[in-house]
Amino acid sequence: MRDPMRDFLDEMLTVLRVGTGRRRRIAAEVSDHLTDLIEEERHRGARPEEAAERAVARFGDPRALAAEFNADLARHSLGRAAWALTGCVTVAFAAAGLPLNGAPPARPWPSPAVFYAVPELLVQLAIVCGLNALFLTVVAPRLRGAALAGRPAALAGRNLAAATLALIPVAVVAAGNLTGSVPFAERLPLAVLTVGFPLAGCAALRAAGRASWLASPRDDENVLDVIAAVCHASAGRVPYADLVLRTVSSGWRAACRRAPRLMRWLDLRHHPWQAAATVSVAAGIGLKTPDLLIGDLDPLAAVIEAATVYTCFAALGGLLGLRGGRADDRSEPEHAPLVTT
Amino acid sequence: MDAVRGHLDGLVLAVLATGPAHGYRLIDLLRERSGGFFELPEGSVYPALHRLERAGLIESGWSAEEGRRRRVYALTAGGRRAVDERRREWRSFSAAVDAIFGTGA
Repeated sequence: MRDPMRDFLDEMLTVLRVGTGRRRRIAAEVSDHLTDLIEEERHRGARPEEAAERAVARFGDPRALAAEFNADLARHSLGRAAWALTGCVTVAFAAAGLPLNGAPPARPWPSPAVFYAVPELLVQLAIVCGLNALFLTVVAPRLRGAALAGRPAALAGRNLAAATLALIPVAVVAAGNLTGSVPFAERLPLAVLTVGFPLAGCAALRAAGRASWLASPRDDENVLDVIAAVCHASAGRVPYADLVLRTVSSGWRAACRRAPRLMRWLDLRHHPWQAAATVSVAAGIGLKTPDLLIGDLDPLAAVIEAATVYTCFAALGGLLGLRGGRADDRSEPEHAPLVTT
Repeated sequence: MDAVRGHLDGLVLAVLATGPAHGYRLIDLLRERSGGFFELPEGSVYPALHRLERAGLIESGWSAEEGRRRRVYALTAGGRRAVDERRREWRSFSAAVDAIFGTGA
């Protein structure tokens, strides 16, 4: 004989992707609630079978219910992984910074070139990806007042995966140098990175996989669209933010009218390649400013820094959602663009 | 009912501000206090409850009623603060909407 309540639970549990404990808890709660509904329907005079059918109908679609639980879990995983990875990136930054500012270990492992190059190049990539993921999963949903879903969720997953991949060599180098004669102050972040990264990395890759549960076919926002939406949402909430946004937008528009060619070198949304060149040069200058101040500028290093930033943007910008789409080949987002040329 | 879904977390918190409740009672209270306006699918309240519990705004425990053990949800201190905050936000929002719609009357 058919049992509508059992069928409902089976269908829900088929789609549900949460852990065993929560799965059991959800099944028990749903089962309790359905039992109450069946009793209520029977008090109203329904026959047992009819009462069960009505109770199940009142409860809603089992697949939609499971999908909502899955989506919540995916959001939670992405947020937690972003925090964990940001912690690892911070420690990696400290671990990279300490030997660069002081004496290196007696025998840098595996070689001095790798010891310096890996943290210098890959930690920067991990910082960008980690901060991007944290912005998309934690900061933007809070400021926009909207749950993470659609393409921003997929982009957050990709950023987490990229940060994880960038940190693997960093963690390996950190682990290798633990055995050398490294001072305690440097050994501590290396040890934290060696132990913490595998955990954070696994969480990040799992969360990146779960991001697909938040897919939404209508949504095509990239990171720049999310930044624009956050600015507009903040303008309505934070005191003076509206004034600042309006001032910046009108200043930008005025500058675009007066010097359109020059402003193309700054507009990442509509002229990503030109703007990326500007950002790369700025990064090269900015990162070497401390050397410039102490009169020890290395122009070749500055050029390598700028070229690396541009290459990373060219290779990963589209994948990580950092490149604005062309204005004419995509629909306008719900919010007005932050600034337009 | 899509509009209600966007406010479901706040509505659940507001109902729990009047006292602890289990899922079945909670959806009953939502219906009762809205004068029957919120006829949500009964299951929709559970993802909201789990989400709010994960955020630390509510906590769950067990209670025995009529010989049955049930999971009961109650507000935490953070949840009480969240209710006050959401209530303030909603009042400002609805006052603004009222002001606009009111001009057409």
